[in-house]
Amino acid sequence: MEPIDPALNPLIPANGQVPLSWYLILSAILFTVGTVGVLVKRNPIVIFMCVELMLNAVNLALIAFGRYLGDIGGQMIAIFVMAVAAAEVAVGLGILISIFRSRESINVDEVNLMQG
Amino acid sequence: MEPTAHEIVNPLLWLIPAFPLIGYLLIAFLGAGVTRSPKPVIGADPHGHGHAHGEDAQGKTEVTAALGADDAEEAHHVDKGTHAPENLAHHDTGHGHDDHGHHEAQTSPAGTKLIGGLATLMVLLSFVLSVMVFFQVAAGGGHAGEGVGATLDVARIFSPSFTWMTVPAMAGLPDLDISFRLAVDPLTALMLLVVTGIGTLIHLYSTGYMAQENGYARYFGYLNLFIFFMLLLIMGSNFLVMFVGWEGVGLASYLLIGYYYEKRSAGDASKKAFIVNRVGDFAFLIALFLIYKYFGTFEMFGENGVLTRAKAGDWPLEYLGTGLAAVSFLVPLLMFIGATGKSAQIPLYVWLPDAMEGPTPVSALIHAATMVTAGVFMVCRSHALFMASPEAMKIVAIVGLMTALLAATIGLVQNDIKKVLAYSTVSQLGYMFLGAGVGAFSMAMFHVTTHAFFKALLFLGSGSVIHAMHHEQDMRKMGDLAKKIRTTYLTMFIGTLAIAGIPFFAGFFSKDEILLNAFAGPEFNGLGSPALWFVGWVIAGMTPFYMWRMMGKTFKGEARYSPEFAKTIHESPPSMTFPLIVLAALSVVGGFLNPAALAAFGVHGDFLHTLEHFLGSTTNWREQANLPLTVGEKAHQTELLLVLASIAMAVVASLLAASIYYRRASGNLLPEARKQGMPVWRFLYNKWGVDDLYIDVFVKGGKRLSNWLWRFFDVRVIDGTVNGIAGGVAGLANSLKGWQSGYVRNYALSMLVGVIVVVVGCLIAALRAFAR
Repeated sequence: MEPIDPALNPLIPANGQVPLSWYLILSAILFTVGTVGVLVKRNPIVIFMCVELMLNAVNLALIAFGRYLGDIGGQMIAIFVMAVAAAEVAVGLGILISIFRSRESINVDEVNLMQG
Repeated sequence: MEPTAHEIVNPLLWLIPAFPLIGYLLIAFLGAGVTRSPKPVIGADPHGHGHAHGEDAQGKTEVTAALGADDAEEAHHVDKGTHAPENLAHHDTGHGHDDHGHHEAQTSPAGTKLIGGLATLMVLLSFVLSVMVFFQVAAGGGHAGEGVGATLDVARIFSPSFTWMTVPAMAGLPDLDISFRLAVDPLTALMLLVVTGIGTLIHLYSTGYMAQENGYARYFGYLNLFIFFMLLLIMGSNFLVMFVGWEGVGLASYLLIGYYYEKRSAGDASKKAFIVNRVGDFAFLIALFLIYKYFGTFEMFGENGVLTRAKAGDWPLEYLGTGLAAVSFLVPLLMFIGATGKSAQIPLYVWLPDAMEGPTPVSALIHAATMVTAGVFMVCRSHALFMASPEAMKIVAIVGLMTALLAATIGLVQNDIKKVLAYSTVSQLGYMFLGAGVGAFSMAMFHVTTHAFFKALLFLGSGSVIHAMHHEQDMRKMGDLAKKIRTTYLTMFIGTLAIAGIPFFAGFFSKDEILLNAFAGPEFNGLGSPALWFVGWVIAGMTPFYMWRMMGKTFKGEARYSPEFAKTIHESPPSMTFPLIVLAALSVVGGFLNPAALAAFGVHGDFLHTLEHFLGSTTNWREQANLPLTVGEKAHQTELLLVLASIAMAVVASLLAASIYYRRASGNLLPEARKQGMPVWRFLYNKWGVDDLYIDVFVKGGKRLSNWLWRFFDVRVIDGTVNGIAGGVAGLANSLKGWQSGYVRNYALSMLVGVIVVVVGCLIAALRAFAR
């Protein structure tokens, strides 16, 4: 693949290709949305979804960079991230069910066990 | 230190202290096994009685216990009177302290004989060796002082030495090579005879006195240990060996005074003795430090010895600079403070009367042969240091005189037979220091010797009385004993004549010499003054008074006990009366060691100054002997007057006291109620309030200080520091713990903030790098 001509305006797709910066901007937006969601939501299911959003924003950036640099490593790491995310969700949901069984609630504002 | 060619070395010297030490070790390791009875003694077993009378009736309860009839005791006496006569001697010896030390093994007769015999034998062997060494010293020289700085004018025998410890040179001081070595010169030889000779008699006496006591082996072990440390004290050829003995006699006296340790008062008395002595020991130790600092050695004798150099006026100026006067004053002063502890002088005399809590032979040992003589000996031994400071000498003389006065006045009103003798000892020790303070060191040692004879006699005699009275010590419960215990009475009578200063008995000569020297001021080439003599002369009148008062109350008048009890009174066994007779003989002839007072009556001859010539330069600091009053016609007349004044005082006071106390049936000069009403009597009976003062100042002060330390220092400072640190950490943690809310969201936010900080930081760094 030929390197992108630096003379071109990076905001306008050329040769039918979407430029890297657009991926990165989308990734940043998705990451920010996920972060804010994690911070403000009370429902842990939604928080998990937001975490997934953040992870996938990162995946997007990884794949974009991989494609841009012609390196397969970006895609590989993205697959690793998805596997880890799946495992994380499995564990997290298990904890949630356990919390729900003991408290009849999964509101994160009512769970403050993580203190000394 | 290697012995030089002209030093006489005699390895036998090691054996003198070794024998009592061997005795102690043997008894310590084997005594308990030997004295344990195979089976409990039944029948005449005295341990069944649970009474301890007499000893309990002391201190605050003394008066009430004496005035009120004690029914229980009365019954007890009746009970004792019904025992079969042939068991009497056996039975009575065991009575008294039977309620002490029940857990200790009951003693078997054969074992006690073995232990007592062994302990006595060991001291006897020391005595025999001492006599041999004494003759070696006497043959080897010992002439009168041959001038200041003379080093070899007396025979001095050394033991082989070995290096005890070596301290490398530091801080400008030379190498310190301390050898462990013993030395015997005339002064030590005299003390050796006193310590081992009287020690042997007291051991022998103890075998009878203590026969049925529990802890018999413990008693004799400590007794031997006492002798051992005393021998080390007097024989040490350097100050450190002397200090070991010095501390050792303190320990041994503590152990023996607290012999009846299950009795509260005995335990208190032993602690008091130890602590009071500790004050003096501390001062002595400081004096030793100063000696090391300025002389660079602890060795007393030889070319570089401390005493040799001090006598020659060779104070090491290179260390002193301008401080010569201060140091030459401080060293003897501190040594004297040490001596006030051991020899019971103001302000540290308070332990000695309380030391009466120990068994009576121990009192005799402490008062006559060991312990209290240590201070006088040390002052005389170090007289070269004392002579360097006229101020220190004045302090010694005045403190001695004050102590003599104080103790004599207190002795006038005591009711406990042993307390009278105890204050009498303090008073006589005051005389000795008076003698030392006016430069009559040889006369101080003379008085030590004669005092050892008659005070041992009087104490052992009082022990015999107490023994006969079944451990009753209160003279108000005695009376009319003269015929019942005749030997004791007669021997004590001689002892009283001796201490009273009746002419030609031992005490007369030594006391008179001290008074003469106290009188002799500069015009007679002396250090004394008529004022010192006058006070001493007045005290010389009190001494016979309280002694004859004691004799009258104890032996004459009406019997102040029941007739049944009277039947149980009997003379002590021969093992106790034999030492009394020997000591009585010594009290008669002891004065003729140095009967210098005879010179006043026109007697002449060398024999008048035998002891003084023998001691020679070990105590003499003058070119001539210590008798300033013998020169010149005026001096001769003065001496005659003084001697006659002393004799008159002794005889008049004796007759006065005897005429009062030998005739009164009650043994009292005044009725009890009238005495109580007299402020003077109360003042004296309360011992000038010194004990109360010490309790108020030191005991209560110590408690207040401890209280303050507890409430302020411990609670506020120490606990405050610890708790403050803990509290600070806790407060910090409290203020930070809000961060750990436990909410996932907060943690996530803090992570985000952290990430932002890191990213922003990286960006700034990158921009800076880019801008450059």
